[in-house]
Amino acid sequence: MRSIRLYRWIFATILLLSSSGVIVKAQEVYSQIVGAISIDLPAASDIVLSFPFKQSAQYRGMIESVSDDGTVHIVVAADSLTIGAFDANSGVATHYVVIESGTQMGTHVEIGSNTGSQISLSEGSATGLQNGDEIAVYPHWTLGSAFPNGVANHEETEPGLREIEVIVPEGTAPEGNMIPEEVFFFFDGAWRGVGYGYLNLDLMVLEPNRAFVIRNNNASDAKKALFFGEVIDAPIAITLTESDVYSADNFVGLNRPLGIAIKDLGLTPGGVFEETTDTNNKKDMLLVYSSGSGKNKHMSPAGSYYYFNGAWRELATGDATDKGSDVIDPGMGIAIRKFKVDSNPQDSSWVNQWELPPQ
Amino acid sequence: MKMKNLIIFGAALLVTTSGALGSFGVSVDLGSLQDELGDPLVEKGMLYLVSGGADGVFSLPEAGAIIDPGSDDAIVESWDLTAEPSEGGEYIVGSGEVSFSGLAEGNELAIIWFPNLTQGNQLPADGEAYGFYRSAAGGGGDAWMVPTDGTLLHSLKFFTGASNPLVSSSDVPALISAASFAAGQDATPPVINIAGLTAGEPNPGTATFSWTGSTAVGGGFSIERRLQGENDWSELGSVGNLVTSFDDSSIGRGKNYEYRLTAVNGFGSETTAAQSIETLRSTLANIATRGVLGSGDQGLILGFVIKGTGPIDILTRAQGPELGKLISAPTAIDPQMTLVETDWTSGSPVNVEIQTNDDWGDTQLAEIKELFDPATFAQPNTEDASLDAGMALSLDGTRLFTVVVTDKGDANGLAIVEVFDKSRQSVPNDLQNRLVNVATRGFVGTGDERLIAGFIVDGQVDSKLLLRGLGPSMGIDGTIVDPKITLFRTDFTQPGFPQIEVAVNDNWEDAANSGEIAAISQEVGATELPTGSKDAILLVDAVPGLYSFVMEGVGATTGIGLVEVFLAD
Repeated sequence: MRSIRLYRWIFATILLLSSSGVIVKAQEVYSQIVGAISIDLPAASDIVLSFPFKQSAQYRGMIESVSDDGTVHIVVAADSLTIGAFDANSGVATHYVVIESGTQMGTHVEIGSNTGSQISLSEGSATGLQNGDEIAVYPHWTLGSAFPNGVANHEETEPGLREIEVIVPEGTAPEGNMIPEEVFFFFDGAWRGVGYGYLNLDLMVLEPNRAFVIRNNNASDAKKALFFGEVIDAPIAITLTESDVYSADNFVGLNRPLGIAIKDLGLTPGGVFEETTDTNNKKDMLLVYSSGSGKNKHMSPAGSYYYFNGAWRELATGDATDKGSDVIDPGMGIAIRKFKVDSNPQDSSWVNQWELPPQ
Repeated sequence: MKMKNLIIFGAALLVTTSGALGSFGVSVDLGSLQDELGDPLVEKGMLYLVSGGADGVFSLPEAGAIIDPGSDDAIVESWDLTAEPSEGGEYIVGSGEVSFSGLAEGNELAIIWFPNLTQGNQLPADGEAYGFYRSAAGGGGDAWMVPTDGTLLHSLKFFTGASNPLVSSSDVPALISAASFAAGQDATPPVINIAGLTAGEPNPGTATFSWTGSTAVGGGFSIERRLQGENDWSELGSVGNLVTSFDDSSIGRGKNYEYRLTAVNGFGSETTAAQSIETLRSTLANIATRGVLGSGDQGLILGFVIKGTGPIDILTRAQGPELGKLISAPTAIDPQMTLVETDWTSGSPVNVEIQTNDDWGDTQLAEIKELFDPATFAQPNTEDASLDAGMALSLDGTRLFTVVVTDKGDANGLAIVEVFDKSRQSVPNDLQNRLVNVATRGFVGTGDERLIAGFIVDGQVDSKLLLRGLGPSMGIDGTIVDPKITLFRTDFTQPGFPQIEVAVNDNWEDAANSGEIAAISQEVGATELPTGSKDAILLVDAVPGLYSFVMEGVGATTGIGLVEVFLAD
């Protein structure tokens, strides 16, 4: 069961008056839309999740120029930034840029540092970036900012016998596997991690658009995870990886606050999701996981979708049933299984475009 | 995710027989690691998670090999503890990716820890010290077995406080529950010696154990006890591996205990055979009550309870003429007695007359004489043909009897009614038959006509006795309204053998130990007394000796009273 609340504030027209008698402008100002979602964590369950929101943008503007000296530098309006506000911390990015228009539309790129008018990226490419492209800068979600008092405000009493774990799987794993990259838990007032001793991990970054798992080890008590933040209706681009060794499960998620029908994901047509032409030899798959009880959901997805004969199909219902209207619930992580290629595996960029429905 | 410290160790994905690329993640809560002395070892050594393979048998490390290369065991994962931060000296280590290749679901897992190996030197030398730990029960985490292929996270846990799963024979106590350095040695069976409880020594006291010939390197010893005949063992305590003795200060009187010792460490456990001891108990050798042998409700009624198994020889007497030879006050002329058993087998009491006697020499002269001193404390009657009454009883089982005494001569004189236990010279335990309760009902007068019970605690150790003087709560007419009891002990060390006052009570609830009195009363099956009752009770630890128990009315009041003595241990 989920609940969603969206707030839209339309601020009143503001009259800017000048004592010097200059022209008076009228301006309509919109705040960003914020929301919150509560997601059930049933007893003895793994819930595959992704953040349905971002933190509030700390900058919005347009690219005025781009340069690349090995590091991509984006110049924005003069003195529009606080110097060093987006600097990486000990080599770990604290903020990222989202390119909201242009050929790199939806791309998320880590920031290395910034001056008052320039953002230097720690990754990415200048290719295709143009003056006038819209950008926004967001802080990363961290364990401490996303779950300041632990998931469901739960604090462990025994760190070796954890009741609630945030398990971050590797972004890509061989078909049917989900490999834990990190295991976090809230203990003694802060986030801790397996293999980290007593280190405070409140600032540990959780990447946008990547799926993670909240495991509720309690066999009898359900919990609720609360997500909140800014609604993103700009395009989102997600990199998908393939392999020539195995079919690769990419564990991803969209920062979207409402359910999205599979046909609206933007996976097909367009090349990032290989269409199945022979149902005995299926190509790419979209894996959707149950929100119910049970652990190790990746081993038995609730829905395994493929694109065949111009429509979305699902393994359980067969090749003739259009399942494109099946909805992925907000906040749920998914997997895109890129089938094994014979050679020369390539990354691809899945761009999801989405709008809030009319009210 | 942006991770500054990835904890993955590089097990490569391998193709399993099914063609899939199997893997699982694992985390292990190790708790603290200690050396054989119990000192913590932090950031030291290499840790290996190993599988016992299909045969379920772990090969132990040998020179040059963590596991026997000829076995089907496998190293599942390893950690360099010098690179693993601990949390207050306790480790939780994890691995992101463990190849399922070479493993099978259900294979048992264990941890081998080499304190002196390093990332650069992972070949054990001959005699290399190591610790070996495994858990069948999971310690509150997942089972120590290879999980299903593809399991996201398999969390292994050691040493969960109260339910330590290290061995199956019993929970390992907290003392042993840190993962200790076992130096590659299994626990070997100890030889248990129990000292301090040889027959003849006073008790209750402390049983002192010692053991030899055992090693439990990196572990310790668990001491357990049970009563003979019981199935379940109770743990008395535990000690570390360097300790070789233990004191059991909770032994009770007259018990047949069995003890065993378990040496336990990370390899397993070794348990000794049970060794039995018997603790001593003193007996109630007799009770003799002197009172007025009136008619009707004012007769003397003696009750006694035997408890245990096996035979018990009892002598019971009612002395009038014989008493008259010792005192000047009027005594009963011709006592007669009837033995009645109260049978509870039907669920409600049924009184069955067992035996009667008028003159003791008539029918059981020889049998009764056999029970005179020294067989019991009964002094021989001076005349075989006297009008005193007596019975020799051979009884068994746990049973309740009542001896009703009347005076055919209706002299309303003093008499003494007695019961003696012939088994006084033995060392009875819970299974041996004994007198556990004696009681006499009679008229409580004043002066010489006070109700006086004498009894002997016979043996080598003290006994806990519950002494009751009841009146108001007896539930019959004519009872004494406010009895008071005084316990005297005859001091045979002083000239003239004076009687020393041991304790006195008027109203039982005023006693400092009234709470214990209530509890003990319930344990021994004494009738419950109403709150505010004016009955008198004493609870005493009575050393062996001769006691007098005087019941009288406060303010020289009189009436029917009941004196009771319970053996309360």
